[in-house]
Amino acid sequence: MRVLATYNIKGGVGKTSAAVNLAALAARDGLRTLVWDLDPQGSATFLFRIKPKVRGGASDLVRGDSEIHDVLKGTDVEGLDLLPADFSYRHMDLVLDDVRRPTRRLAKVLAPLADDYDVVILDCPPSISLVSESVFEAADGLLVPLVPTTLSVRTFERLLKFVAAQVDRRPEIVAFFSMVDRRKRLHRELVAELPATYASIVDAIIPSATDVERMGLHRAPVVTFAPNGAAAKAYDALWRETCQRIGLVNEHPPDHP
Amino acid sequence: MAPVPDPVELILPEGFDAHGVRQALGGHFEVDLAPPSSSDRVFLDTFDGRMHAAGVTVWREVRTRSGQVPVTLEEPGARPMTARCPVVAGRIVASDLPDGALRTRLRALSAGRALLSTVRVRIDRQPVGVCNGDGKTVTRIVIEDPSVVLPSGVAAPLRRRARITPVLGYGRAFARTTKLMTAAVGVDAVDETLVAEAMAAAHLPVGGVSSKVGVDLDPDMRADRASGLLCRRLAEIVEANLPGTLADIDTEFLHDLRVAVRRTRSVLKEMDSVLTSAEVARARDDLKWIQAVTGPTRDLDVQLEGWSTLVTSARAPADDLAVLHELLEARRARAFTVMRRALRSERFDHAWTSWRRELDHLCAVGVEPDDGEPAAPVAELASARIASVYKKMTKLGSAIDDGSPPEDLHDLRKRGKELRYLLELFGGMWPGKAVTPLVDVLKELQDVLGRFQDGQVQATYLRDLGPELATAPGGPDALIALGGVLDALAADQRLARETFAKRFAPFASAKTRALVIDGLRPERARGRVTA
Repeated sequence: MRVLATYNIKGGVGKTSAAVNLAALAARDGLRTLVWDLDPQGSATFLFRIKPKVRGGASDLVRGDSEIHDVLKGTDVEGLDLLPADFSYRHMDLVLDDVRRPTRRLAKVLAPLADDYDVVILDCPPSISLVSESVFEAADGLLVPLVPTTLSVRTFERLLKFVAAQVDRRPEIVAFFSMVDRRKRLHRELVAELPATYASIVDAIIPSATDVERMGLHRAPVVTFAPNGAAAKAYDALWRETCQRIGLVNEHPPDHP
Repeated sequence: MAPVPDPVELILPEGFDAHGVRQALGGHFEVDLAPPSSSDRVFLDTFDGRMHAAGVTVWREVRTRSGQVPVTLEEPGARPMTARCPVVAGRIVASDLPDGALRTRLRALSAGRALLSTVRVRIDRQPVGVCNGDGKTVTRIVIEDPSVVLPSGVAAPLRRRARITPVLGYGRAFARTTKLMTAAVGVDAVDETLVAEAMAAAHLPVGGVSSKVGVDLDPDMRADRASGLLCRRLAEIVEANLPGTLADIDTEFLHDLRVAVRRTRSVLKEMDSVLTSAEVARARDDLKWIQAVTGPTRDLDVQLEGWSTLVTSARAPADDLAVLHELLEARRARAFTVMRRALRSERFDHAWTSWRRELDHLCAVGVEPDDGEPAAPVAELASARIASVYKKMTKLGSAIDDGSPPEDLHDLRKRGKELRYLLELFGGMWPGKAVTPLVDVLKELQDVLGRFQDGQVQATYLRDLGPELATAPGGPDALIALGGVLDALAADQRLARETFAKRFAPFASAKTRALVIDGLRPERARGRVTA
């Protein structure tokens, strides 16, 4: 089981869209896939038309008092399941602070699923906190959406430093440009220049596209309702690069009907 | 994973379609029709039907990209597993699958055997999403219109089915859907799997081709005829496995072929007092020749199959040993070419035709009243042979001590094989409680003797490769690593030898002796009056 996390300190940069679409592509490739919507806002849960409710809430889950298998839900995408969001996740920092080895706790919560899933994608809330540190410890790969703006780049640098300094078991960082608007000069310039500075930035670029915005309307991943659109193709490219970087076997994407 | 109910399949009555589903579920669920699709599935199994025996269904799709096709395994109580795999000459080998759950499961189920196409089914599908008030799919139904694709290319229609699949976390919706659908259709779950129905429609045997002997002998049957019946079945096994051996589909074809030949030779040897014709004498020579020409390939198959275990136990760097592995593979390729030539030769054809003719004769003896002096009943001869070989083994084994040469253990193993074949071929005439305990202790003993001898044979073989290895690129590194391999083999041989006494004791015990001498007397054979 490989654990990936879509993460950024900033909000509204395309974490959930990436998590949901990459998970759908993983399932399409035949990988048994789970998304854990860690964000109490529950956007991923909403997109999968599932109620943002987990019996026992964050507390029981983190302490191991609830059976993780019992709170999973199948999504409309075959082979893709969800551990839904719950409003109690807003207190997850406090719950983690109350247990032994808090930074290793999320990995421990996921451990019973090791034989059931090939890929787990954690959709993280925007912050840097104990939850983030626990995510870093659990993840094999950190997928970082990067909106090509100066402030985003600054935040990304801080993230790289934090992970390098604080985390024992460093995940592979896979950064990608997100919400790119090629009509904007700054976007074009940063997209052209930054990969030379940061080796963790991959080639795939997620555009600022109407299809992505319409996910909320369709309540489905863009790769399922508009699989031939530019956004879906961009997520497909991102998924393939992610697999290569993380060492996931995905050399032969399936034929599309 | 928490238990998820297995999918339910229903055979649908004539005219029951998506509209019928909507009617059945209306008022309880929303029904969402997805675009229909059609695709072909090629169902897979090993030659000997291991998937069928394990109750699992494996299929591959026909569409390929770069020679890779999706392979899916379904079994009760588990979620379906899918991965992409290369198809080489129409077959799939589990070890070619990418790392993952499917590869692990298929490797365990197939035990090295290739998965071959059994039947091709075309399925027109109408997916129906059963949704709750939020439009969330809570159960999946697929209406399937399957047809079996016959070798002629003609598609023969099968029965329409509805496949109802649960969605994780929505067990109650699944139960409700199944109940409503069952009530609407008017029948319970399906009576046979799709693959079974397709195989039957295509007049194909379900469950693969067995290499089990399974000849039920009458203890009073004359021994020559009984031998003929056994050998005829063994000849069928040889013939069934010959094409797969020649095509080199997997190593088990050759293995099963050789076992059948060895068993045949065993029958001819044990029953030699009643099989005295010149034809049988010639068959003995021919079968010995077949055994000899197939031996080198099998020996190399064994070396290559045990390779990873050997490298691990020797703690030798796999890279250093790569040259040796390549050498073994090259030798195997050469040995196979020689073997294939022999098995396709006129000599083989002639020998086999003659043997088949003699078998027809043997199987008919005693059927006509004027067949001359009848041979002894098979139970009497078999009982005498079992007792005799057992006694020889106890005598040989009792004389073995720490100072005995390896040849003594080899001799004992040969006798053990003889006894094993006698019990496998003729043991069915006695009640299981008389035969099984003897087979068990013999098996334990043979395992130890086999480990000892196989280790020695393997070490000798590898040592003999030394000169060739030394001149190969990377050879010196391989030679050093080979030292570790030989050490590991020697250590295992020592361990086997130390275990010998412990395994021999129950075999030679008074209890086992009584089983052989008394329990396997001819008059105790099944259907006879017990003394």
